[in-house]
Amino acid sequence: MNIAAIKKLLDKDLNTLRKLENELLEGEPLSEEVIGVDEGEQLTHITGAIWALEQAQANGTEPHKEVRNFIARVRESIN
Amino acid sequence: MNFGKKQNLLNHNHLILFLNNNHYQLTINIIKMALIQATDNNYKDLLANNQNVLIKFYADWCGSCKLMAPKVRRLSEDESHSNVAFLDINAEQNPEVRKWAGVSNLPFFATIKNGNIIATNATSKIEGVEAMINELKLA
Repeated sequence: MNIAAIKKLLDKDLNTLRKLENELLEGEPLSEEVIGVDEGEQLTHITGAIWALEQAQANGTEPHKEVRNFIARVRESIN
Repeated sequence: MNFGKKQNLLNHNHLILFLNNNHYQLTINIIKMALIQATDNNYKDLLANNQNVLIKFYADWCGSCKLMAPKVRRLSEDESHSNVAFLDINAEQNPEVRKWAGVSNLPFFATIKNGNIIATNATSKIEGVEAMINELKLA
């Protein structure tokens, strides 16, 4: 997982990110560039960006801060 | 309106409904729930009640997990694996079983026979999971 790749996706809006997420889930070619060594990693980056933006909206925080929280979630899951 | 109901004894996955006197027939294909959702609260019981077990650990944030999910589900519905119990465990929400299995990355798979771990593998390749299942059956 590439934190910089998730942060780069924060420039996109949620609708675009959800569209990209759906393209990967449906096995379709991505309509925009997403960094990742494979489709799985690309999807993780998109999931992270979506989560960070949604959390930022809900909590009134900065998306970059929520990316750090996302990474903490990931680390806890495999601790 | 009255409905008659008859279970198709030839295939337990199908339910045939007859509308009385109208000879209409509706066949509903019931998909076998072959993937069992397990948690810290019930995994020990599930391991005790099943000789051969494959556990898939996943998380909601994990992209590879989402892409693998339908492939593993198809494996679990394969009749040739009917003697294997397929458990689905959210690693983020179930720390006890996650640590017991030694989850180091996701998706993560563990095969268990008679309650003992046979093999583990952090893989995104369905071929790797199939190999684990075949090894489990021979163990």
